[in-house]
Amino acid sequence: MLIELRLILLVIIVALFIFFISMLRKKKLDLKYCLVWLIALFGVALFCAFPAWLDSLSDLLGIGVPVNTLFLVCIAFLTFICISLTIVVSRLSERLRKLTQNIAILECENERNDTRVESETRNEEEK
Amino acid sequence: MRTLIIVPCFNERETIADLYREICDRTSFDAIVINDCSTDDSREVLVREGIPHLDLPLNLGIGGAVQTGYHYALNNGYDIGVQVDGDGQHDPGQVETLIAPIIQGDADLVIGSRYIGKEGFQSSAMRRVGIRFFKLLIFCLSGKKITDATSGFRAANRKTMQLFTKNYAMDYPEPESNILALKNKLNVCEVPVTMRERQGGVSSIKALQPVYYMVKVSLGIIISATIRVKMTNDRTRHAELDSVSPE
Repeated sequence: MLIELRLILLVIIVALFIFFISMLRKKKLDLKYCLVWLIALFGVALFCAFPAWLDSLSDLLGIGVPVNTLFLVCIAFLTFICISLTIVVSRLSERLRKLTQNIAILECENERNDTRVESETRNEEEK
Repeated sequence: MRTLIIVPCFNERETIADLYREICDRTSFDAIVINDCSTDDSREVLVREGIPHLDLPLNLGIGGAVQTGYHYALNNGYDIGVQVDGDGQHDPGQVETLIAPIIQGDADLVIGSRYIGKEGFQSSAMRRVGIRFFKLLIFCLSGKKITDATSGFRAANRKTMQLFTKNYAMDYPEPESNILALKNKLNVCEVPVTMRERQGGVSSIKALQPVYYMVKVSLGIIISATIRVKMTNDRTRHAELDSVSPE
């Protein structure tokens, strides 16, 4: 791997790392969802530090240009992130639906109880 | 048997009060309006007229609204839930015919079909083609003929309502839920009804591209055909939040 590419990657990794950590500290990111990104950064950093690993991985996969291996790994990782996010969103909307329905039902029951209590107290007062 | 008429309502300020009055005049059943977070003053109309209603704090779509109605019906000990759309397409006077097969014990889910008697409002030619396609698809998957799978004018007994509270699509739910009921060994039957042209509001289908609608519903039908819902006891208090497991 060329030294220029390694430098560019290094800069990106450091910038992203600082970004993630500051977001985590401000509680704008959940560590649970952030962890996978941090691990990925660590992985890319490893390839940066030891470019020979990328070459041997390329040989193993039969890919001529090592940087293509890097792209392949990146695309696979992004796909994985997207799928997991879709799952998270679906689960959230399912939970939101149930919460919404419960609120509507409870609110109605609440109102009914209130009017019942009201009429009971009024009856007692009349007695 | 206690019957509850469930009226999903999204921006139906012009028709909802008349519809409720018609329900009271022509039937002896209780009714509840599910206000799906309307953006017009439907809610004020409901409060002013003293119409029993549930207010969803977020817009869930027709499926989510009707499902809330089923929850409410189960919680309050109703035996039958009948969906009557808020736009005035469905004639409350025909609810009796709709629930008759359930009372006789012949059916768990009764669909009011426009296409048996071929009377009244028949919908546009384009939509009839779509409905015929759903009929074919459902026939291929279940061997049963449903002539009007998109009809929202339906009556469900407790067993069916329990199934629908566990699994119900949020948008365009009817065709999917029909096949779900069929595949979960419920007796589904159709009775002829006449529908009216909508008196107000906009069809939930018209607003979206027909292509998206056809693809989404067709896929939904196929997936629903493979779902088997485990039925537990009759005691379903509120929507079961814990059935979604925390991570």
